[in-house]
Amino acid sequence: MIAFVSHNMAPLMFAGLILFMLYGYPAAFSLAAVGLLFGFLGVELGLIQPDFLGNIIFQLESVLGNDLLLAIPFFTLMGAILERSGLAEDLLEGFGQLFGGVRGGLSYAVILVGAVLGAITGTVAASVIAMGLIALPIMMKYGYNIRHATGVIAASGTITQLIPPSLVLVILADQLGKSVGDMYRGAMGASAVQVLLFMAFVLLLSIIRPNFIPALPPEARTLRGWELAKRCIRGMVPSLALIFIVLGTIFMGLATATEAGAMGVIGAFVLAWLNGRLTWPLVWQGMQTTMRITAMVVFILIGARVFSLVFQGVGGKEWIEALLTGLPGGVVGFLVFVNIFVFIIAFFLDFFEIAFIIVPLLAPVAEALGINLIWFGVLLGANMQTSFMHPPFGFALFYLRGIAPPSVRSSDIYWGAIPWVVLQVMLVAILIAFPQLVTAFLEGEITVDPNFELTVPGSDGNDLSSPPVIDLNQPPPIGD
Amino acid sequence: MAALLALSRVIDEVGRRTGIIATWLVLFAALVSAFNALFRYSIGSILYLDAKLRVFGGGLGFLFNLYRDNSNSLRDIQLIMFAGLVMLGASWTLRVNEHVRVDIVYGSASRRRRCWIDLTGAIFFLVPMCLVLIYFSWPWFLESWTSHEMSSNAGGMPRWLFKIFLPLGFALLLLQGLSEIIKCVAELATEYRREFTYEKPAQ
Repeated sequence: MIAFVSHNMAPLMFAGLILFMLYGYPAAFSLAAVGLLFGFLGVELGLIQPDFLGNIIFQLESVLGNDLLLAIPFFTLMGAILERSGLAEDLLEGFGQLFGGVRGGLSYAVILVGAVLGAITGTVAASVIAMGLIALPIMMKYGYNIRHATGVIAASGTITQLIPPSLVLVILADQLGKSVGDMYRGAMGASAVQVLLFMAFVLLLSIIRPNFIPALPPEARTLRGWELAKRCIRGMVPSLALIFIVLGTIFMGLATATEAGAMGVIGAFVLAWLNGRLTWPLVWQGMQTTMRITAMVVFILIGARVFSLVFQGVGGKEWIEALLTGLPGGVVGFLVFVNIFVFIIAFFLDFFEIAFIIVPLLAPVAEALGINLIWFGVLLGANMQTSFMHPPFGFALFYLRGIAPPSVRSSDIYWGAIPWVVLQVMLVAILIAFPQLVTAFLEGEITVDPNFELTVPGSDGNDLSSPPVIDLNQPPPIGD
Repeated sequence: MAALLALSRVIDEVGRRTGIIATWLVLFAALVSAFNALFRYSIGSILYLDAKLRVFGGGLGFLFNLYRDNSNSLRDIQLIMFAGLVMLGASWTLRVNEHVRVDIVYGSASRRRRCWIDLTGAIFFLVPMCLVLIYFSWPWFLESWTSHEMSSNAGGMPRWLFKIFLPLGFALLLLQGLSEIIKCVAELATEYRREFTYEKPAQ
C-alpha cells in the first residue's frame, strides 16, 4: 500500500485536487490544503526533503511582491468606474443610430461598442452590464429576436477577454513567463478576426432569418447629420483618449501594464466626472468590489502556488509531461487535446482557477514541443472566452440575467448563447490553423548565434597574475 | 453559545475594520502608481520648459532630486499596499462569502448541508492552512525585523513593512475562520441563521 502510494504520488495528488475542489469549500483554501496534506505525506514517505516545504514562503513572497499582479486591482477598479460612467450609453446611442437603418444594425452596433469597450477596460462585467442595460430594452422594443439580442450582448461583452488590455492576457503572460506587451500584440489579430466573425454571423442571419433582426423604423432614428456626428464624436473621443492612455503607453513602452492600469483608473475618474456621474458611493462601491475580487484572486494564486510547489516536489511535472508529450499528432494533436480539455474544464472552473492551476502544468509541455508561448497564450485566452458563455454557469450570462427584465426567460439567454460559443470555438480552430494571425504581430525572435563563444579571462591558461599589457604606441586594431 | 456568538461578532468587527483599510489601499495604490508613471515621463519636459521658458522661475530642479531620491520608495510602497490590500482584505472577503468555489455540489446543496461543508472546510482546510503558513511566515518576518533588512532597491523602504502582512493576514484569516466555525455550529445547533449566502463574485 505504502509502496503504491509513494510510486503514484503525483496522480494521487491530482485526484486529491479534484476531490477537494468538488467538495465546495472556497477553491483557494482547498488548493492550499491539498498541497499541505500531500506535502506532509511526501515528507513522511521520504519523497521530499523536510525543509522543502520551507520554500512555500518564497512562493508567497513572489506572489505578493509581483508588480504585474498589481494590474488586477487597477483594471478591476477602472472597469467598475467605467461601467457607470455613461461612456457605453454615448457609444451605443451613436452607433445604434448610425447603423440602425440596416438589418441587424443594432447588433453591429453592440459588437463594435463591445470591441471599443474591450479596448478600454479589461473586465467582462463592465461591458456586459453596461451594454445589457442600454441595448437590450431598445432591441426588445424594436422586435429583435430575444435569443439573438441576449446572445449578441453577452458575446460582445466577452470579447473584452481577448482584446488588449485584457486582464486575462496579463495573467496568462505572467503564468507563461512572457511579456505583457507581446501578449497584447499577439492578441490583436485574433481579436480582429473575432469581431469579423461575429459581424459575418449577423450578416448571415440578416439573409436567412431577416425577421430576427429588423431595421429600425425611420421615426426611431431621430438623430441625423451633424447631430448624429456629434453624438458619435462624444462617445469616440473619450474612448480613443482612454485607449491611448492605457494601451498606447504600453505599446510605446512608456508605462508598464500595471502603471497603464493605474492611469486608466484616473482616466475613468475624469470621464465619470465630466459626465457628472462621479459620486462618492460609486467610487466607494467600486473600491470595495475591487478589494474583494483582488483578495479572492490572489488567494487562489497563493493556494495554487502551495499546491504546485508540492506537486513538482513529488514529480508531478514529469508525470504530466509524460502524459501529454505522448499524444498522437505532435503539436497539433497536443493543441487540439489541450483546447478540448480547457473547453470542458471551463464548465467547472472559472478563468482564474484555470490560469493558476492548469496553465502552469501545460506551459512546460508546450515549450518542450517548441510551441510559441504567445500563440499558446492567445489560443488559451480565446478558448477561455467560452467559459464566460457556457450555459448555465457562464459569468456573462449570469450578469445578463441579473439586469435583464423579468420577461426575458433564462432559457432564452442560455439558448441565445450557443451560436456565439460555436463562433468562439471556430476562432480557436482558425488560430490553430493559422498561427501567423498571432505571430505576425510579434517582433522577430532573438536568434542565438551558435558560433558565439564567450572567453573568460584565464580559461585559456593565460597568466592572470599581472594586468594585461597594452601597447599605446600603436592604434588599437579595429575589425581585422 | 451566546458568549461564542458575541466573540464571533467581535472578530467580525475586527475583520470589517481591516477590510476598510484594505479598501482604501486600492485607491492609494492606484494613485501612487499613476503618479509614478506620469511623473517619470513628464518631469523631463517640465524641467525643460522651466529651464527654457522659466515657467516656474527655473527653480524646479529640487523636484527632480526629490523624485530621484524617493522613486524606489514609491515603487516599494505600491507593493506594500498590494500585500496589505490582499492580506487585510482576505478575511473580510471570507466573511461576506466571496471566495470563489467550485459550486457543482455546493450550489445545489441545502442550507444545512452548506453549513456542514463550511464547518468541515474551515476546520480541516482553512485553519490548518493558516497555522502552517503562520508557522512559516512569522520567523521569516521576525528575521527581517531584527536584522533591519532594507529593500533591494536602493533607497527603498524597510523590508519588514512588506513582510509583516503575511503573518498578520493569515492570523486575521485564522480568526475569521474561527468566527465562521462558531456561526456554522450556531446555525446547526440553534435557530441562528448566517447572514451572507454564497453568490459567485463578479469579475
